[in-house]
Formats: sequence, C-alpha cells, structure tokens
Amino acid sequence: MLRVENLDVFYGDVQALDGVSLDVEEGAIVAIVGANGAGKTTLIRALAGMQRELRGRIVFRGRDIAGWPSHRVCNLGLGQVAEGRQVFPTLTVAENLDIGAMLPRARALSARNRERVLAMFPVLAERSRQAAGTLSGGEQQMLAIARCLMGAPELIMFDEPSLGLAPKIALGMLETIRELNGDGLTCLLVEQNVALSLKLASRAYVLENGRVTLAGSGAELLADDRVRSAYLGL
Amino acid sequence: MPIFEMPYVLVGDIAYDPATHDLSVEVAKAKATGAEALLVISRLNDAMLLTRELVKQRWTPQGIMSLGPGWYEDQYLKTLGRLADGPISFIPWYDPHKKLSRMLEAELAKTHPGVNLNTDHVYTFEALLVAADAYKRAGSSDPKALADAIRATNITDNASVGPGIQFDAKGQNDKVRGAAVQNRGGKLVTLAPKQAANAKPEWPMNSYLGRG
Amino acid sequence: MPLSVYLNVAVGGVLTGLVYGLMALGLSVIFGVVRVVNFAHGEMMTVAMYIAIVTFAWFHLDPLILLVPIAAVLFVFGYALQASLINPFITRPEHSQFLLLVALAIIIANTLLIIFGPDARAVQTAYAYDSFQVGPVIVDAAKIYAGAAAIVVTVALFAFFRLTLLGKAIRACADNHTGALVVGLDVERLYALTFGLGAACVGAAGSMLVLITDATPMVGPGYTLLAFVIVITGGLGSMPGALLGGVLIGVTEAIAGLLFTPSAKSMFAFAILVLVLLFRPRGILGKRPA
Repeated sequence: MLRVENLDVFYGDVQALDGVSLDVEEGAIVAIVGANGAGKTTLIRALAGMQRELRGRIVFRGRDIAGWPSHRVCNLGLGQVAEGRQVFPTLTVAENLDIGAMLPRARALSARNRERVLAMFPVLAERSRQAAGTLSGGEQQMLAIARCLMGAPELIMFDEPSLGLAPKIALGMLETIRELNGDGLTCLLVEQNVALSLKLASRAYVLENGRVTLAGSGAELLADDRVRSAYLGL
Repeated sequence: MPIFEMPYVLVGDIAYDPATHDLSVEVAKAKATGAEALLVISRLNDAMLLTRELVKQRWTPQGIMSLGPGWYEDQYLKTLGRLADGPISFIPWYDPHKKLSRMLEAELAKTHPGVNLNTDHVYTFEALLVAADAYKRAGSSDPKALADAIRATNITDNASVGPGIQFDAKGQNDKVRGAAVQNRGGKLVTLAPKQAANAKPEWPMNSYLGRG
Repeated sequence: MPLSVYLNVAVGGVLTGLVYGLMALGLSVIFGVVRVVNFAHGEMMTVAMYIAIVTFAWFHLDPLILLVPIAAVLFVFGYALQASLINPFITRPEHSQFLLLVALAIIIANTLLIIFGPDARAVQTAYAYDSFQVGPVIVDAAKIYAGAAAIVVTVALFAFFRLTLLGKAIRACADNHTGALVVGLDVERLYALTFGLGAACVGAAGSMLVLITDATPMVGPGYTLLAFVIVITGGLGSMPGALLGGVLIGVTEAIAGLLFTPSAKSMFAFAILVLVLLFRPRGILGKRPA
C-alpha cells in the first residue's frame, strides 16, 4: 500500500534521512523504532507532505506522492495522528471533528464517520461542545484519532500516540490502534514503548541516524540482541 | 500674542492638524463658543471639511473670514456648489475694473471656460509683464542692463489691486494692496478696497439650511 | 460647554470609531490567522476609497451599495496577493515580510498618485450634508449609515467564522498550524482566503469612509497606524475587540479634542495604547496566550 524508496530528507544543509526504504502492506501494523533524533518524526512528516525538501520515491496506492502538499496526501487516504496530538484548542470537540471531515474524500461520509467515532470514543460525544483545549491528555489523543478517522483514511501514521499519557491510558490507546487495525485500517506506528509496539507490529524497522539499520517482523526484532540491548534495556 | 484695540472679543482659538480628515469636533467646539463669526486660516481640504461640518452641524455664523487659501479656490466652489457661497477671503487679488483684468478674464473664459481668474494667474501674468517691460526698456538681454531695468520698473497699467508695480530697495512691490473677495453664486466678487469693489458685502451670510 | 456638545461629539466618535474598527478588524483577522502584519493595510483602504470615488463619479452609485462589490474586489486582490506574493514569504523572517509589504504600500500609494494626483477627492451623495436631530443631538447622516454598515459587516464576518465550515477551518489554521496540515487542510488556500477576507473588511470600511472623509493617495500610513493602535488596544485576534478598540479610540479622540486642543487629539489615542500596553498587554478583549 505504501512503499518508500531511497528517501533522503533535508533541513537546509542538514540531511535528516538517508536512503530510507520501507514497505507497508495493506492491513498491516508496521512499527518504526529508534532513539530520539533518529528521524522518526521527520519520516512521518515527509510521508505526510509536511517536509518537502526530499529526494526519492514515496508510492502510496500506486502514485508517487513525493513532494505533494499535505492536503493532497491526506485526500489520497494517508492520514496522520501527529506527535503532541495537535488538536485545535479553541475549537469545540464537535468543530474539531468537522474540520477532520473537510477532506473532499470524506465529506459525503461525514455523518456516518461521526457516528462511528463517537461510538468508539463516547467521552467525545459527552464533551462535544467543550473547547478541545480543556480536555485531558488522553481525551485529546482520542480526539486526535477521531478527527483523523473523520477524514476516512486508509492508512494512519501514528506518531507517539501514548507520549505523556498515564500508563493505563497509554495501554488503552495502543489497544485502540489494534482494534482499528482489526477493522481493516493499515497502521504505521512510531511509539516510544518499543516492546509494546513490536508486539503489535507485523513488520518493524529500526531507524538510526536517519538510516534503516534493521528490518524484520515484530517478533524477529523483539528477539534481536541489538534491539533488546539498545531499546528494551535487557 | 500682541493685544490689539479691536471692538471684538476673541471667544476662542482652535488649532487643528492641517492633514486631518475629520473636523467635526473642531466645529462642534467652535459652535459651542457661541461665536458670531469665524476667522479661518486653512487650505483647500480643511476648508471643504469645515464647510461640510458647518452644514451638518446646522451652524451658519454671521460670516466666515479667511486669511489665506482654500475658501476662494475653484475646487472649493465646484465641489461645494451652492454651499460654497458666503465666505469672504482677505487676499491679494486683481482689480476687476482694470483694463488688463478684463482682458485676462475674457481670454481665460475663451481658453479655459469655467475657470475663475485668480491671483496665481494674475501674478504669473504680471511677472511676465515685468520681464517684458524691463526687456523693452533695457533694449538688450545683457543681465546687468536687465536687472537695472527691473529695479526701475514703474508699471501703472497692471491687473492687481493697487496703484501699480514698483519695487522698493528690498525688491518688494510695495504698491500692491490686499483685497476682500466673497464667494457668490459660484463666482468671486470684490468687496474691498473701494476702488476695486464691484459688489457690496453680503452680511450676515445666507443660512446653510435650505441651500441643498 | 453644554452637555449636548459632549453628546454630539461622543456619538460622532462612536460612529466613526465603528468604521475604524471594521478597518482594524481586517488587520486583526489577517494577523490572527496568517501571522503576517499587513503593513499595506492603509494603502489597501485607500484603493477601496478611490474605487468608491471613481465608481460614484462615473455611475452615481451610492457608496453604501458599492460596499459589496468593492469588498468583493478587495477580496480578490487580497486573495491573489496572499496566493502569489505572501505565501512564499510565510516561512521567511519577519523583516523580509515587513519589506515586502512596505514595498507594496509604497507601490500602491504612488500608483494612486500617478493616476489621481495629490488633491483630495470626495463623493457627493444626496445625503452628504444631511443630519438627523434627536433632541439636542445632531447626528451626521453619513456617519450613521457608515456605522450601521460597519456593524452589519462585522456581524456577518463573525457569523462566517462561527457557523460555516470554511470559517471554522480558518479558525483551525489560526489555532494550530501544524494541526491544520496534519488533518489535510489546504492551509495556503485558507491563508489566501483569510487575507482576502481581511482585505474585504478594508474594502467595506474604505467605501464607507468616503462618506465621512476625503481621500488623498497619501492617507494610507495614517490609517495603518490607526489600525495598529486599535487592534492592540482591543486585543489582537479578537473580533469584538477590534470594534471596541475602534469605538474607544474614536470617542477618546473626539472628547479629547473637545476638552483640550483638537490638534493634540491623536496624542490621547496613543496614551490609551500606552496604558493598555502597560496594564493589559494582551489588549482589552485579548485572550491570554495558550
């Protein structure tokens, strides 16, 4: 569904990604693992069309989207739940969802999608008239996911969905991702909780200093000594 | 401020920014003083703004006396139409009875219909007159001869109000006299001095109300 | 001085202030969303004033009717400007944005100067000299129409931002730029739309302002400065704040002109600005930064 070939990304003179290649098959959960500054967020921003100084190919649903602006990327069905949740704090919960459904691909499905996400996160229905900025961290994360789902994506990239959340809520968040995947949604997951994300993932990549240094199934990487010592502290 | 022996009371003076776009407060303030007449020093834009505010605030003083430009200018007359009538300007002016003035008026009416003859035209004309007269008397374009001829200028057949053109030791034409002109029916009539006058002052001026 | 004089002057100040507020609203909307300070704001308003003057001279259309088409013209102008010139400058340092917009301001002012010359121009509507008398208060008719139109336009804009999806999307961009990119909003287009709307406010304000005052090609910087004072006083990014700021400045100038010398009235507007900056830096209705 998504294939990245030899992706180089630059911030001015600094090269942040160097020849990254990866594959996300339809229906899979693919995890990206790496230390802070390894280039995980840069990778997601590049795929989402938010970092457009790049070389290489990004093929999504058969089209090379490298260099496309983010609104076109989103409208092709490549959604994102960004690091830091990025809700619209002064807009109400309901308005945040409205904005999510503004993509041309999602407009007609807006009513149905809203029903679906509110069934999935009933707390958002309760707080629909409340400003998003007043929600708790966990609720904001739910809103960020719900807002993304309003755009009817086929693949969602999650960037640190459990960051800053209480452990119990963080677990619930990853459970949500598994459920969404069960419903047929393809997921690309960047997660600080390496052990959990590798357990969820059918395939995973290790990113170090802007390069993919290791790739394999989640189970393979979980068993890999280098991963165990560097990321799992074992 | 020097104190003059005048049979008038100055009830107030209001300074304003000449580049302003709104003089409503100034006019409201002037109206509130209960003044009978308005003495103004303005330029074209503020003259028009002041007039507009006088009309809107429904105040017609007995007279508006201007000590400078603005109130007699063609654009003022054209823009304000019937509302332009009434103000009296105390300025250098031409004597409408003089032969040259009549010729100038007739010529201007032919080449630029609708334009009122004013001091700018007349001074330009008289400058040429002085130069031509000096050249004729000097009989050459030698600078020194021309300069001497200009110093000896004594023209009596001119257009401006006063006995003529003659320069004193400082190079000033001390023969020129001030005049009072009033806007009447889109034209300018001369009220003073006596020998140049072609109309009696209209005082108090007609109310702005009902002039439309 | 009789009380009626104060009342007259205050009412005039409120009405003029509303029009100023509408102009400042344009600046506030643009800055609040696009985060670019429109240093050509006053010049854009001058353009609107001249369009009103010329169309009035040619077709004798009332500036209050012209308000809609002129706002539309300025909208297109603002949209095109943001889409073509300003969007590429969004990520550049502020001083380059400043230079770009100041250059634009100078170009506009001098183009107007070439076309129209330096003299003041005005429109002569049928009601240009009308006034209403309510008890002791005499109110300028043109100011009433202009003030009322300013309120209508502001309410319409407010409704657009609160009730329509597009308006919500623009607020979303202002709220969280990254968030807007993440959900796939076409931010550059929304920015252009916002700049267009800000310009439309200016257009509406300009077409009403010709009812109240004359235009010359060089009035722009004065209005830009006035818009800054109003927006900062009322609260940057707050729509009611811009209107309130406009009224406050309008009334302050009027009353100060009455009590002290009129030539010093701008001083009092700036005094208010200084007081607000000292005691409430985010402006009267400004929100605390999140």
